[in-house]
Amino acid sequence: MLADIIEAPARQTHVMQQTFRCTLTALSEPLRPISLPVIPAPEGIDPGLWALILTILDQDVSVYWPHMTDSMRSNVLFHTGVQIAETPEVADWLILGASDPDLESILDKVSLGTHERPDTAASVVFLTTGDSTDVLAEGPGFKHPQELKIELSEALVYRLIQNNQRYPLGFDSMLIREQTLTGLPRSTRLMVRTD
Amino acid sequence: MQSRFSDPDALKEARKQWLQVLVRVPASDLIEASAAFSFDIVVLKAPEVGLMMTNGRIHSTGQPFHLGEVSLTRCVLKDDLGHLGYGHILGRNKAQSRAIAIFDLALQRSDSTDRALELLTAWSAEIEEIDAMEAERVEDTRVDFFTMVRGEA
Repeated sequence: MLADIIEAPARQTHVMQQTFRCTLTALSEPLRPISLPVIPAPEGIDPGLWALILTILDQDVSVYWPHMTDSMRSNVLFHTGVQIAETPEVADWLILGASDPDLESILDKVSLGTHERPDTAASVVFLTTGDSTDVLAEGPGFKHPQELKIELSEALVYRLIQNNQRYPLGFDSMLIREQTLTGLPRSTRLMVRTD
Repeated sequence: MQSRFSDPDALKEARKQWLQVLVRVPASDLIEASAAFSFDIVVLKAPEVGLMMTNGRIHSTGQPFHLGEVSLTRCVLKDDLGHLGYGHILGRNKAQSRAIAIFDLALQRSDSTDRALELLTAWSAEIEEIDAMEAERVEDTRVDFFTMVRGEA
Protein backbone atom coordinates (compact mmCIF):
# COMPACT_ATOMS: atom_id res chain seq x y z
CA MET A 1 0.00 0.00 0.00
CA LEU A 2 3.00 2.27 0.53
CA ALA A 3 3.41 2.29 -3.24
CA ASP A 4 0.18 4.32 -3.57
CA ILE A 5 1.38 7.26 -1.50
CA ILE A 6 1.43 10.42 -3.60
CA GLU A 7 3.77 13.38 -3.45
CA ALA A 8 3.02 16.36 -1.24
CA PRO A 9 1.95 19.42 -3.28
CA ALA A 10 4.65 21.83 -4.32
CA ARG A 11 4.98 24.78 -1.89
CA GLN A 12 2.76 22.90 0.54
CA THR A 13 2.79 25.49 3.32
CA HIS A 14 1.62 28.18 0.92
CA VAL A 15 -1.22 26.01 -0.44
CA MET A 16 -2.32 25.07 3.08
CA GLN A 17 -2.39 28.72 4.13
CA GLN A 18 -4.56 29.55 1.12
CA THR A 19 -6.90 26.67 1.93
CA PHE A 20 -7.13 27.73 5.56
CA ARG A 21 -8.05 31.26 4.48
CA CYS A 22 -10.74 29.78 2.18
CA THR A 23 -12.10 27.68 5.06
CA LEU A 24 -12.38 30.70 7.36
CA THR A 25 -14.12 32.66 4.60
CA ALA A 26 -16.50 29.77 3.90
CA LEU A 27 -17.56 29.58 7.56
CA SER A 28 -17.91 33.35 7.98
CA GLU A 29 -19.92 33.74 4.78
CA PRO A 30 -22.20 30.69 4.96
CA LEU A 31 -23.45 29.11 1.74
CA ARG A 32 -21.15 31.16 -0.52
CA PRO A 33 -19.21 28.70 -2.70
CA ILE A 34 -15.45 29.22 -2.39
CA SER A 35 -12.88 27.78 -4.80
CA LEU A 36 -10.08 25.83 -3.15
CA PRO A 37 -6.54 25.60 -4.57
CA VAL A 38 -6.05 22.89 -7.20
CA ILE A 39 -3.53 20.25 -6.12
CA PRO A 40 -2.85 16.66 -7.20
CA ALA A 41 -4.90 14.28 -5.05
CA PRO A 42 -4.80 10.53 -4.37
CA GLU A 43 -7.22 8.29 -6.21
CA GLY A 44 -10.71 8.41 -4.75
CA ILE A 45 -10.31 11.82 -3.12
CA ASP A 46 -11.44 15.05 -4.82
CA PRO A 47 -8.67 17.68 -5.10
CA GLY A 48 -10.68 20.17 -3.01
CA LEU A 49 -11.22 17.61 -0.27
CA TRP A 50 -7.53 16.67 -0.35
CA ALA A 51 -6.50 20.33 0.11
CA LEU A 52 -8.90 20.57 3.05
CA ILE A 53 -7.62 17.30 4.57
CA LEU A 54 -3.99 18.44 4.41
CA THR A 55 -4.98 21.74 6.02
CA ILE A 56 -7.28 20.76 8.87
CA LEU A 57 -6.20 17.27 9.93
CA ASP A 58 -3.14 16.61 12.10
CA GLN A 59 -1.96 14.40 14.98
CA ASP A 60 -4.09 16.29 17.52
CA VAL A 61 -7.48 15.46 15.99
CA SER A 62 -9.38 12.35 14.96
CA VAL A 63 -11.41 11.71 11.85
CA TYR A 64 -14.26 9.30 11.12
CA TRP A 65 -14.45 8.36 7.47
CA PRO A 66 -16.52 5.24 6.87
CA HIS A 67 -15.83 4.77 3.15
CA MET A 68 -12.07 5.03 3.07
CA THR A 69 -10.14 2.59 0.89
CA ASP A 70 -6.73 1.25 1.98
CA SER A 71 -4.90 3.52 -0.43
CA MET A 72 -6.84 6.57 0.78
CA ARG A 73 -6.13 5.57 4.37
CA SER A 74 -2.38 5.21 3.83
CA ASN A 75 -2.21 8.59 2.08
CA VAL A 76 -4.20 10.34 4.79
CA LEU A 77 -2.11 8.76 7.54
CA PHE A 78 1.20 9.49 5.81
CA HIS A 79 0.48 13.12 5.01
CA THR A 80 -1.42 14.19 8.14
CA GLY A 81 -0.69 11.70 10.95
CA VAL A 82 -4.34 12.07 11.98
CA GLN A 83 -5.96 9.57 14.38
CA ILE A 84 -8.61 7.43 12.72
CA ALA A 85 -11.76 7.22 14.85
CA GLU A 86 -13.58 3.89 14.76
CA THR A 87 -16.91 5.36 15.86
CA PRO A 88 -18.58 8.70 15.04
CA GLU A 89 -19.07 9.60 18.73
CA VAL A 90 -15.38 10.20 19.40
CA ALA A 91 -14.43 11.92 16.13
CA ASP A 92 -13.49 15.60 15.87
CA TRP A 93 -14.00 15.53 12.12
CA LEU A 94 -16.32 13.38 10.00
CA ILE A 95 -16.16 12.98 6.25
CA LEU A 96 -19.47 11.64 4.97
CA GLY A 97 -21.13 11.18 1.61
CA ALA A 98 -24.24 13.39 1.44
CA SER A 99 -26.25 10.55 -0.11
CA ASP A 100 -24.91 7.87 2.22
CA PRO A 101 -27.83 5.65 3.38
CA ASP A 102 -26.45 5.48 6.96
CA LEU A 103 -26.09 9.25 7.17
CA GLU A 104 -29.02 9.84 9.55
CA SER A 105 -27.84 7.28 12.08
CA ILE A 106 -24.26 8.60 11.95
CA LEU A 107 -25.35 12.23 12.42
CA ASP A 108 -27.37 11.19 15.50
CA LYS A 109 -24.12 10.07 17.13
CA VAL A 110 -21.95 13.08 16.24
CA SER A 111 -20.53 15.06 19.17
CA LEU A 112 -22.49 18.30 19.65
CA GLY A 113 -20.26 19.71 22.39
CA THR A 114 -21.38 20.59 25.90
CA HIS A 115 -22.87 23.79 27.30
CA GLU A 116 -19.58 24.49 29.06
CA ARG A 117 -17.53 23.73 25.94
CA PRO A 118 -19.64 24.08 22.78
CA ASP A 119 -16.37 24.38 20.83
CA THR A 120 -15.66 20.69 21.39
CA ALA A 121 -18.42 19.77 18.92
CA ALA A 122 -17.45 17.85 15.79
CA SER A 123 -17.32 19.28 12.28
CA VAL A 124 -18.83 17.36 9.40
CA VAL A 125 -17.60 17.48 5.81
CA PHE A 126 -20.34 16.43 3.39
CA LEU A 127 -19.31 15.17 -0.03
CA THR A 128 -22.22 16.44 -2.10
CA THR A 129 -23.53 14.59 -5.12
CA GLY A 130 -25.77 17.04 -6.99
CA ASP A 131 -28.99 17.13 -4.97
CA SER A 132 -30.32 20.60 -4.51
CA THR A 133 -32.86 22.24 -2.20
CA ASP A 134 -34.18 25.81 -2.21
CA VAL A 135 -33.77 27.44 1.17
CA LEU A 136 -34.10 30.75 2.94
CA ALA A 137 -31.01 31.34 5.05
CA GLU A 138 -30.31 33.87 7.79
CA GLY A 139 -28.03 34.30 10.77
CA PRO A 140 -24.47 35.50 11.36
CA GLY A 141 -22.84 36.28 8.01
CA PHE A 142 -26.11 37.33 6.32
CA LYS A 143 -27.13 40.97 6.24
CA HIS A 144 -30.67 40.03 5.18
CA PRO A 145 -32.40 36.66 4.88
CA GLN A 146 -31.32 35.24 1.54
CA GLU A 147 -32.93 32.84 -0.90
CA LEU A 148 -30.34 30.27 -1.91
CA LYS A 149 -29.88 26.80 -3.27
CA ILE A 150 -28.09 24.32 -1.07
CA GLU A 151 -26.49 21.21 -2.55
CA LEU A 152 -28.11 18.75 -0.17
CA SER A 153 -31.26 16.66 -0.20
CA GLU A 154 -34.36 18.05 1.49
CA ALA A 155 -34.23 15.36 4.20
CA LEU A 156 -30.68 16.37 5.08
CA VAL A 157 -31.62 20.06 5.15
CA TYR A 158 -34.35 19.24 7.68
CA ARG A 159 -31.74 17.37 9.71
CA LEU A 160 -29.50 20.49 9.64
CA ILE A 161 -32.43 22.68 10.73
CA GLN A 162 -32.79 20.37 13.75
CA ASN A 163 -29.06 20.81 14.38
CA ASN A 164 -29.45 24.61 14.41
CA GLN A 165 -32.29 24.41 16.96
CA ARG A 166 -29.88 23.12 19.60
CA TYR A 167 -27.59 26.14 19.19
CA PRO A 168 -25.05 26.82 20.76
CA LEU A 169 -24.67 23.06 20.64
CA GLY A 170 -24.46 21.30 17.31
CA PHE A 171 -21.98 20.40 14.60
CA ASP A 172 -20.60 22.71 11.91
CA SER A 173 -20.85 21.54 8.33
CA MET A 174 -18.81 22.01 5.20
CA LEU A 175 -19.95 20.95 1.76
CA ILE A 176 -17.38 19.87 -0.78
CA ARG A 177 -17.79 19.15 -4.44
CA GLU A 178 -14.69 18.86 -6.64
CA GLN A 179 -12.94 22.21 -6.07
CA THR A 180 -15.71 24.05 -4.27
CA LEU A 181 -16.15 24.48 -0.54
CA THR A 182 -19.33 25.80 1.03
CA GLY A 183 -19.49 26.47 4.74
CA LEU A 184 -22.59 25.96 6.87
CA PRO A 185 -21.90 26.71 10.54
CA ARG A 186 -24.37 25.60 13.19
CA SER A 187 -25.48 29.23 13.64
CA THR A 188 -27.11 29.49 10.20
CA ARG A 189 -30.89 29.29 10.34
CA LEU A 190 -32.44 27.58 7.32
CA MET A 191 -36.01 27.31 6.08
CA VAL A 192 -36.99 25.06 3.20
CA ARG A 193 -38.79 27.08 0.51
CA THR A 194 -41.80 25.33 -0.94
CA ASP A 195 -43.10 28.15 -3.18
CA MET B 1 16.31 -6.29 -7.28
CA GLN B 2 14.14 -6.47 -4.20
CA SER B 3 13.58 -5.48 -0.64
CA ARG B 4 15.91 -6.71 2.11
CA PHE B 5 13.30 -6.67 4.83
CA SER B 6 9.95 -8.43 4.79
CA ASP B 7 9.32 -8.04 8.51
CA PRO B 8 8.49 -4.44 9.50
CA ASP B 9 9.83 -4.93 13.04
CA ALA B 10 13.19 -6.14 11.74
CA LEU B 11 13.34 -3.09 9.47
CA LYS B 12 12.50 -0.79 12.37
CA GLU B 13 15.35 -2.18 14.49
CA ALA B 14 17.90 -2.16 11.69
CA ARG B 15 16.87 1.33 10.59
CA LYS B 16 17.32 2.66 14.11
CA GLN B 17 20.95 1.47 13.99
CA TRP B 18 21.82 2.97 10.64
CA LEU B 19 20.02 6.28 11.16
CA GLN B 20 21.93 6.72 14.42
CA VAL B 21 25.16 6.54 12.43
CA LEU B 22 23.99 8.54 9.39
CA VAL B 23 22.95 11.63 11.37
CA ARG B 24 26.50 11.91 12.75
CA VAL B 25 28.35 11.59 9.45
CA PRO B 26 29.73 14.95 8.19
CA ALA B 27 27.17 16.44 5.78
CA SER B 28 29.60 16.90 2.89
CA ASP B 29 30.73 13.23 2.93
CA LEU B 30 27.15 12.05 3.09
CA ILE B 31 25.94 14.26 0.25
CA GLU B 32 28.85 13.24 -1.97
CA ALA B 33 28.35 9.54 -1.27
CA SER B 34 24.60 9.66 -1.82
CA ALA B 35 25.09 10.93 -5.39
CA ALA B 36 26.45 7.50 -6.35
CA PHE B 37 23.11 5.72 -6.00
CA SER B 38 21.17 5.64 -9.23
CA PHE B 39 17.80 4.12 -8.38
CA ASP B 40 14.67 6.12 -9.23
CA ILE B 41 13.23 8.23 -6.46
CA VAL B 42 10.07 10.24 -6.00
CA VAL B 43 10.13 13.14 -3.56
CA LEU B 44 7.09 12.65 -1.31
CA LYS B 45 7.98 15.49 1.02
CA ALA B 46 10.65 17.85 -0.26
CA PRO B 47 13.23 18.83 2.39
CA GLU B 48 11.62 21.40 4.65
CA VAL B 49 12.80 23.22 7.73
CA GLY B 50 10.65 23.42 10.83
CA LEU B 51 10.84 23.73 14.59
CA MET B 52 10.63 21.03 17.19
CA MET B 53 10.22 21.43 20.95
CA THR B 54 12.86 19.57 22.95
CA ASN B 55 12.19 18.29 26.45
CA GLY B 56 14.73 18.06 29.24
CA ARG B 57 14.83 16.54 32.74
CA ILE B 58 17.04 17.86 35.53
CA HIS B 59 19.54 15.10 36.39
CA SER B 60 17.65 13.00 33.84
CA THR B 61 15.21 11.91 36.56
CA GLY B 62 13.24 15.10 37.34
CA GLN B 63 9.98 16.33 35.85
CA PRO B 64 10.24 16.90 32.10
CA PHE B 65 10.28 20.55 31.06
CA HIS B 66 10.44 22.35 27.72
CA LEU B 67 14.07 23.10 27.05
CA GLY B 68 13.50 25.13 23.92
CA GLU B 69 12.84 24.86 20.23
CA VAL B 70 15.41 23.53 17.80
CA SER B 71 15.32 23.72 14.04
CA LEU B 72 14.75 20.45 12.29
CA THR B 73 14.90 19.51 8.62
CA ARG B 74 13.00 16.55 7.24
CA CYS B 75 12.64 14.86 3.90
CA VAL B 76 10.70 11.78 2.76
CA LEU B 77 11.50 9.94 -0.46
CA LYS B 78 10.02 6.89 -2.15
CA ASP B 79 11.79 4.50 -4.52
CA ASP B 80 10.42 2.44 -7.42
CA LEU B 81 9.86 -0.56 -5.11
CA GLY B 82 7.61 1.45 -2.80
CA HIS B 83 10.09 1.83 0.08
CA LEU B 84 10.01 5.02 2.08
CA GLY B 85 13.25 6.76 2.98
CA TYR B 86 13.24 9.23 5.86
CA GLY B 87 15.82 11.89 6.64
CA HIS B 88 15.39 13.93 9.81
CA ILE B 89 18.25 16.06 11.12
CA LEU B 90 18.76 18.87 13.57
CA GLY B 91 19.69 22.06 11.79
CA ARG B 92 18.82 23.52 8.44
CA ASN B 93 20.87 21.52 5.94
CA LYS B 94 18.31 20.40 3.36
CA ALA B 95 20.82 18.54 1.19
CA GLN B 96 21.95 16.54 4.21
CA SER B 97 18.43 15.46 5.14
CA ARG B 98 17.85 14.40 1.54
CA ALA B 99 21.12 12.44 1.52
CA ILE B 100 20.08 10.59 4.69
CA ALA B 101 16.75 9.73 3.10
CA ILE B 102 18.59 8.35 0.04
CA PHE B 103 20.80 6.20 2.26
CA ASP B 104 17.73 5.05 4.18
CA LEU B 105 16.32 3.83 0.85
CA ALA B 106 19.62 2.33 -0.31
CA LEU B 107 19.91 0.26 2.85
CA GLN B 108 16.45 -1.22 2.29
CA ARG B 109 17.14 -2.34 -1.32
CA SER B 110 19.16 -5.43 -2.09
CA ASP B 111 20.79 -3.88 -5.20
CA SER B 112 22.46 -0.99 -3.41
CA THR B 113 22.96 -2.44 0.06
CA ASP B 114 26.55 -3.64 -0.41
CA ARG B 115 27.89 -0.21 -1.28
CA ALA B 116 25.80 1.51 1.41
CA LEU B 117 26.74 -1.00 4.10
CA GLU B 118 30.42 -0.66 3.24
CA LEU B 119 30.26 3.10 3.77
CA LEU B 120 28.12 2.70 6.86
CA THR B 121 30.60 0.30 8.47
CA ALA B 122 33.49 2.68 7.80
CA TRP B 123 31.56 5.62 9.20
CA SER B 124 30.39 3.80 12.30
CA ALA B 125 34.00 2.72 13.00
CA GLU B 126 35.10 6.35 12.71
CA ILE B 127 32.35 7.50 15.03
CA GLU B 128 33.19 4.82 17.57
CA GLU B 129 36.81 5.93 17.47
CA ILE B 130 35.82 9.56 18.07
CA ASP B 131 33.56 8.52 20.94
CA ALA B 132 36.35 6.42 22.50
CA MET B 133 38.81 9.32 22.26
CA GLU B 134 36.30 11.67 23.84
CA ALA B 135 35.57 9.18 26.66
CA GLU B 136 39.32 8.84 27.29
CA ARG B 137 39.78 12.61 27.37
CA VAL B 138 36.94 13.04 29.86
CA GLU B 139 38.15 10.13 31.99
CA ASP B 140 41.46 11.93 32.65
CA THR B 141 39.71 14.78 34.41
CA ARG B 142 37.25 12.66 36.36
CA VAL B 143 36.83 13.49 40.03
CA ASP B 144 35.30 10.91 42.36
CA PHE B 145 33.38 12.76 45.02
CA PHE B 146 32.86 11.12 48.39
CA THR B 147 31.51 12.31 51.70
CA MET B 148 33.31 11.81 54.99
CA VAL B 149 31.08 10.00 57.48
CA ARG B 150 30.39 12.41 60.30
CA GLY B 151 31.01 11.39 63.86
CA GLU B 152 27.50 11.87 65.27
CA ALA B 153 25.93 9.08 63.16
